[in-house]
Amino acid sequence: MLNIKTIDDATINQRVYQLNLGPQHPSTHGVMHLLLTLDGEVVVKIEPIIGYSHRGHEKMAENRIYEQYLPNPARMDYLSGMIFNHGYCMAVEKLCGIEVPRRAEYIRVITSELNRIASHFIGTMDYAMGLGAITPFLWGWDDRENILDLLEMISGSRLTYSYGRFGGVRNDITKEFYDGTRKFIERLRSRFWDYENLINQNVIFIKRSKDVGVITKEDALLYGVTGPTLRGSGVKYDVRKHEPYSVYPEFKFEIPTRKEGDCLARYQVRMAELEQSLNIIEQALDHLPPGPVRAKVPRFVTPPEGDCYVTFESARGAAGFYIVSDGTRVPYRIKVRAPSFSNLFVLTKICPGHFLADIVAIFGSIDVTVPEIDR
Amino acid sequence: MLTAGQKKLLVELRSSLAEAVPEGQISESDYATKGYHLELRLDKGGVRRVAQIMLDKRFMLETVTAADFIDSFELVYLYSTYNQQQVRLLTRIRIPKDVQPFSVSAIFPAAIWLEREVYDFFGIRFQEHPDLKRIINPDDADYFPLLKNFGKTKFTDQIDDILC
Amino acid sequence: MEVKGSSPICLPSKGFQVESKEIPGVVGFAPVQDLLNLARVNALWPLTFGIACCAIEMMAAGVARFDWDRFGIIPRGTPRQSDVMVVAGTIPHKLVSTIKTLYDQMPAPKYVIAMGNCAISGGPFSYDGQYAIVNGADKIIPVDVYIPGCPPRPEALLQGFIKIQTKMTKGIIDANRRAEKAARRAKK
Repeated sequence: MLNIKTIDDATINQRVYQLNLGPQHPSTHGVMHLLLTLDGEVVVKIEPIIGYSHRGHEKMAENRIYEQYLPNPARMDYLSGMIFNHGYCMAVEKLCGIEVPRRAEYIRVITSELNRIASHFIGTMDYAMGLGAITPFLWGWDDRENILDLLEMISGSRLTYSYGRFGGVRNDITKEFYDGTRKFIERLRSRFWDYENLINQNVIFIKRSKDVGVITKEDALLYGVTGPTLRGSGVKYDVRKHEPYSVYPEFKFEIPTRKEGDCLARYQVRMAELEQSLNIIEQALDHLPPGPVRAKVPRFVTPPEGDCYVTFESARGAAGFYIVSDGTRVPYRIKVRAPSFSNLFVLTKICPGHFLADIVAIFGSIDVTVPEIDR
Repeated sequence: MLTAGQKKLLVELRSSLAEAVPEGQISESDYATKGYHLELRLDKGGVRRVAQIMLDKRFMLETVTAADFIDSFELVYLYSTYNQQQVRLLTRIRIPKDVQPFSVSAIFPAAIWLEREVYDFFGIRFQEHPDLKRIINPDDADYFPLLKNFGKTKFTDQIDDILC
Repeated sequence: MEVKGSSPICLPSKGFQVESKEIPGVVGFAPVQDLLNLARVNALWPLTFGIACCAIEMMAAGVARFDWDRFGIIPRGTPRQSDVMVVAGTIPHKLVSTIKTLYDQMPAPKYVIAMGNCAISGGPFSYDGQYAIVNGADKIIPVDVYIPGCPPRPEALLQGFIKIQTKMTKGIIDANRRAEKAARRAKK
């Protein structure tokens, strides 16, 4: 029984209280714990607590040789597993000075862009489901299944790929993959109209996303935000154009940006990027060169002493591998720059002042993958 | 293969850094093999001065990391640009094991979490950090995982020869 | 119970005699339990506890292509309303108390499925010198069905649910399905 006489007025009249959003909650972003300080329904302070998905990737790198570490990058950001896998191979190749055959580079670009489309389907449709729209979620995941079928044909895996190898890729693409990708591009182009009619013009969707969670350019610079989260705020920064790697300079594509910086802008940037990725895949399939798909590298790769930093554009932003080598077969230190780590921290700046329901929208629009934050 | 704009920015950057941090050694590196254009080696301090210069020149703090070299730590800061002239700067500072470097979080708020991660994994405490506590490992952990004398690394145990 | 056009489903009461005299305390009576189990099995509501990569394959088992709704499976967000907990992903030390709390909050009868190599035994992340994870969900809570794979295909998760159904009804649902299949083959 509450003994009223012993509680002083400050506690009874206290308006501010703390609420746990997570670590287990029905929204599908993994184990994310947000500690909210609320004044009624308005958020006063938000503190993301991470570490619920920590698997020790960076320590594991010091216990494995470079080849044995290949399955790990895909499990960090599993929604862009192919992109991380190729990025790690790029980092080791840069350190050792291995040159990759052109056909392998084209295959890397095709598979990376397919993976990017698959990841953006999850990013946008999970955001829509967080606002209450269940049908786009089912449509988006079904379109994604077509991509997973294609990637399973050549790599054998649906989600966590280890398709890249130092010096290229593991095996060549088949005729089935080639024809399937062509058919997929055609089909997806017609599906964009379906999504436009279903969700993009929906009144509730727009009202809940417009002017919610605005990230200004200054905030983005101070917090190191990258990726579609940054491009929704008007900064035209994409690693594929600014620090071109692989064969991206040979393709013509644009970087969609929006000026407003709110949730709707970030959603529209991701939807617009789907079209650009399709363009890149089409151009790559048209100009696919013949040749080997894997360079001759020693069985166990031994990079010279030194360090190197390689950055690439994952579906969430600019990711990077910083490898310090001491001349042996085992890396000395591998540091992974995870884009979701910086993107998540900006929540502490933009969330205060919004309602509790908007937090779900903002968190969904930033599109984080939790194991990438915790590594 | 640097563009004119990049070369101009590099020259400006070198002069501002040489002015603000005269005790540091700046050298240009080959971007194709290293991934960064400029390398700044510091000895005792100066990370905050460098951060202020980079913020004035509209660079973003990409990442903060460290490596354990048994009798010293090496702290590494990476800065990069958002705009057309893409330049990356890597700042290294070798500090002995008990020295506490200054935090740059007053200049770049991104460093609040990045430096907490370095503290969590290495035990390096940063002075004037607003909220230095564990971030990824459990709050009651009493170990710093990425130190070379923790757990198993190639130094404490020989990696068996891998036969495939 | 006969439905026109399909093979007869054998209820447990067909296999042995049911006494017709009045018996007090029917709740603990074995055939009633079996009947309840058959009902539970067709409406398994999981608490989806997706931690890492396996969570995506679990969601893929729920959407249009593989569709666990046709088995009666509806995911619930709260442990208070769920029958089975699907632990999908690697378990780090910070999450141990959370899993224990969630398991305690589920009302009995409750079951646990360990999905993926990480939840079975630590998976690819378990090596000599690993400091961060717990080597398997069964070190914390009792597990009923293990589904191997990294990550397992959505069909594997559905087969895991069918195995739980077999376990919950002590083989009766398996026998029913075999009888149906035999009847269909006999008809052909």
